[in-house]
Amino acid sequence: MVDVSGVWVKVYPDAAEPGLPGFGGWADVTTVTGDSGNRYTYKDIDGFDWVAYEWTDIGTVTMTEGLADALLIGGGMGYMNNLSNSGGGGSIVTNILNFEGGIHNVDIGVGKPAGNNFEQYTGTPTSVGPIHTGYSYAAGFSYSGTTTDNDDPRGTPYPSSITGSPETYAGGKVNSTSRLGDGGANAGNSGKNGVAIIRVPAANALATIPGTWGDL
Amino acid sequence: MPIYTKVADDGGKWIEIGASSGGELPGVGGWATITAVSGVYTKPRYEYEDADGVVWVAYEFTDDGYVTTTAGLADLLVVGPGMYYSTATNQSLSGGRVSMGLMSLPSAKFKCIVGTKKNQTMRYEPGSSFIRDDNNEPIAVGHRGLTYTTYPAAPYGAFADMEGGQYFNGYKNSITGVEKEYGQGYKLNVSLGVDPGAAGQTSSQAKDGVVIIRVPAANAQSVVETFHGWNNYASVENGVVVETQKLPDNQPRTLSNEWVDAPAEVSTGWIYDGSEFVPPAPPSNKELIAELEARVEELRKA
Repeated sequence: MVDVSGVWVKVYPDAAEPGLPGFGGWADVTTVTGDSGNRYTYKDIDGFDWVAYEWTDIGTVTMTEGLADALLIGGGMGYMNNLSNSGGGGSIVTNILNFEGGIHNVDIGVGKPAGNNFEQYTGTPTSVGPIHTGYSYAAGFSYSGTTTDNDDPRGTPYPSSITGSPETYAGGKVNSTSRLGDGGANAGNSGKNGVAIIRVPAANALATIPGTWGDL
Repeated sequence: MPIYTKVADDGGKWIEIGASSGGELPGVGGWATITAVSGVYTKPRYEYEDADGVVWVAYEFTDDGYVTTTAGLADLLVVGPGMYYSTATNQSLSGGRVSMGLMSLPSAKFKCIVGTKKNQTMRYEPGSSFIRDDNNEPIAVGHRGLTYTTYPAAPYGAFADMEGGQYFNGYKNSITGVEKEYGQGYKLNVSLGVDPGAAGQTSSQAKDGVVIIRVPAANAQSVVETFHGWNNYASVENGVVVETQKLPDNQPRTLSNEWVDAPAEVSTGWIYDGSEFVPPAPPSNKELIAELEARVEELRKA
């Protein structure tokens, strides 16, 4: 190594733009509202600090334009009397998505009890701004749980650790009491409500949380 | 922001420079590089410059295939196939569902499975679209479209909004450089999509699913492309197809003689008389009426 006597010089005229080429960087989450939810603050196995905001009721999120890791779980479908094709899990959007800057409404999908027609027992979408899950899957479908090539996924809840701990969501035709997004397995077992989770690095999580939220 | 570091002119050699801070998403990393594709994909591959000047490459699988990548992020779109039902002129049919967004992939050879459209006869057959990893685990799923009569809770379009009265909306996306509406639902005189995953009254109206993977062109510079079709083989018992499998058409046949060459559309349940495959008969009006009556009875009990 050569001693350059502490002289600093510019190496690159312009360094590469920060963030992912073609998409840019993480969005800043600046404000969250809603009556019910949680904030999860944790360090992943690589030592990276994350914050995940979780809505379990309607609210809003204000973000700068950019990327956010999203897990949106729609409401689960109710069971319909002996109809084997009911009880689908809530639909799922999971991946890193690009959000426009501004205030986005957060809507949480409603799980439905057994009902008499399509609109009465189909779980409704969960959405954050224009991103939404669509209505619940049919026929006991779920996002996970198939082993051969084109078999339709049925039953198995979807696993995710977006909140820092392993959880499962939205099983198809599952006789659960509380798992978010589950489809109902029998007449006394309604579909469960969905959830919206937005995760960004802790450095981009600038929003304080409502007093009614959990801080975990 | 520019990067500064200590350097010295050591006989013309640059010494110790700082690493670039760009190109990666903190906590997740940078783009995956596509190294190989095979199977049935759109040729030539999509290559275009977006409004921000970024050049993209997208591989669109319209039938099954494989894509090999290094570890990193990729932009994915997986769309299930639409449903068609030729005798139900007033029925609403649902389009395929979608999975989209940036996903962090491991270094692997991924299997891309493209679901094909189903009609009323085939309504109980599986057939969603997938990307599966080395362990055959699905990492992205686009569920198949369904019929309103058979699956009364089937959503009509991938992005249906019943409260807004938009029952048939698909998902709009420009991953190939041109905006399309994937997974659109169908209703006579109301909605008829033309893009992948659309439902329709007839086979020609309904569309198969699709699997698309996109990265910046810089991450798809030396892709080994092997385009090939698939041969379909059927295992027949008592005149009925009990299993099918597809093998690349650019490789010698390795199956035993018990497997019969079959057209691509042949699947489990088809009839084989020793010389010709025919699909199972569609349900008769009598059977359909009985099915509907049974459902009405269930609704009355609910």
